[in-house]
Amino acid sequence: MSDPANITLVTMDGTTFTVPSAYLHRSKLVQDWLRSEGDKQAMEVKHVTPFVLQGVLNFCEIHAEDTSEPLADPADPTKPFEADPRDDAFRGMPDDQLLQFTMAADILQIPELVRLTAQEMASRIDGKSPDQIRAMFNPDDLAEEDVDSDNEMGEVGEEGAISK
Amino acid sequence: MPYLPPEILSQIFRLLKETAQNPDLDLLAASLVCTHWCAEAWPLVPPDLFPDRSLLLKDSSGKDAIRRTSLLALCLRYELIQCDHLESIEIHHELDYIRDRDNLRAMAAAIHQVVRVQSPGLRRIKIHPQNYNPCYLRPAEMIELLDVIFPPGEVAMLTELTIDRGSEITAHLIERVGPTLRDIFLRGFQFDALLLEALGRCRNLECLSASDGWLPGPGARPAPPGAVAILAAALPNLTTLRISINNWEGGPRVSNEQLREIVTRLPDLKHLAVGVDLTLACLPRAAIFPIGERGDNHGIVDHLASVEANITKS
Repeated sequence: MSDPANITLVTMDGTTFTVPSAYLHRSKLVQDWLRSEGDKQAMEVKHVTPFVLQGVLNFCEIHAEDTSEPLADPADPTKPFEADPRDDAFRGMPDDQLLQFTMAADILQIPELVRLTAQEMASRIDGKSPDQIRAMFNPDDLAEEDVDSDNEMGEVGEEGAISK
Repeated sequence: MPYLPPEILSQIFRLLKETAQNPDLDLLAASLVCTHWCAEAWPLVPPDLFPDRSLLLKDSSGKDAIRRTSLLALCLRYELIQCDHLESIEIHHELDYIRDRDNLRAMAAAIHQVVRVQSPGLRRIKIHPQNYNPCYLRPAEMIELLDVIFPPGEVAMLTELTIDRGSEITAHLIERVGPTLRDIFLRGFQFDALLLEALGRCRNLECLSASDGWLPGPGARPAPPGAVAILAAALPNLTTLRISINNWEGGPRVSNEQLREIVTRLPDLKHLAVGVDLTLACLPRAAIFPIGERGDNHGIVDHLASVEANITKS
C-alpha cells in the first residue's frame, strides 16, 4: 500500500520521483489516478523525461500553497495573464524545452502550467515568420509530408509547408 | 520534438489572438507553419485580411506591410486564399523623403514573391511621378527596385503599364515586362530614341497612350527620321493610339504623311486620338509641319479629318 501523503511518479525511462501528493492537487490526471488507482505503488508518466518531470514538480511545489481557483480554461480571455516572478525559469528556457514542458503540462493536465507555457509559446510566435517559427519549434519533424523541399520562396526566408 | 496536440495548439493561438501586437498576421504566420498548426490557427484568421486591390511600394512601407505582403505570397502559393481582386502594383516615389531604403528593398522583395505566384488578377503596374529632387528616390535606385520585383529571366504576366515621367525607368521596365504588355499609358515623356526602342519590344501592345510631354532634357537622343512610322510598324497589334503631337512652339511635329503612314501600317487601328502638348518635341525637325497659328487647332482638325478618312477607307 502506498503512502497517501506522498505520490511516486515514474518517467518514461523508469526514473522515480516521490513528492507530497498535495503538490499535485492541480493535476487532474494525478487526482483521477489517486481516486481510481491510488492503492498502487507508483503512477507511470509516459512520454515525460526525468528532466521535464523534475521541472514540472518544481512548478507544482512553488505553487502548492496557491489558493486561487483552478483554471477551467487555460486560454480563458477573461482572465488576463499576469506574469509571476516565481515562474521566470520557465519563461527563460530554450524553445525545445518549452515545447516539452507544454506537452508535460498537457499530459498531467495542470491548467496553470498549460497557461504559463502556452502563453510563453504565444509570446515567442508573436511577430515571427513561418520560417522562424519552424526553426524554433521544428514541427517539420512531425509530418514529413508537410515539408516543402523545393525551397522556392527561400530568398526572403519564408519557407512554406502548407498543403490544403 | 514532441507533437503538440490540437487542444494545446488551440490554446496557444487563442492566447496569441488576445495578447499579440498584430494577432491577425501572427495567426496567419502560424497557419503557414504546417498543416497541424494550420488546422487550429486558420479558423481564427479574419477572412478579409487582404482587402487591398494594389500592392504598394512607397517610402512609408513599414515592417507590417512587408510582413503582410510576404504572408500574402505564401497564402497564394499554398492556395490558402484566393485574391482575385488584387490587380495592380503601385510604386510611389515622391510622397515623402526616403527614410529607410532597406525597408523599400524588403518590400520590393515581398512584392516579387507575390508576382512569382502569378495571381490571376495581378496585371497592372502603375508608377507615380518621378521627382528628381536628390532627397527622393533616384532613377537608378528605382531601377534597382524594379529589378528586385522583376528579376531577369522571370516572366511577369503584366498587361498594363502606367507611368509618369522617367524614360530610363520605362525602358528598363519594358525590358522585363514588355512582351506581355497590351496597354501602355505614358505621361510626361518624350518620344526620344530610348523610349521608341523600348516600345518596339512590346509586340503585343494594343493600346498606346502618351500625353503631357515635357521638353526634352540635355541627354535626350532625338528620335530617328520616320520614327513614328517605325514605331507603328513595330507594333502590329495596335488598335488604339492616343498621342499628343504639338510642341512648345505650338506647331505639330507629325506630318499628314506620317499620320497617314501610321494608319496604313496599322490595319487594326480602331481608335486614334490626337492631342496638343509637348510629347513629340523630340521628333526630328524634318517632321515639323506647321499647319496653324499658335493655339489654333484648325490644322489639327484637318489632320484628324484626313486620318479618320484613312481609317474609314481601310
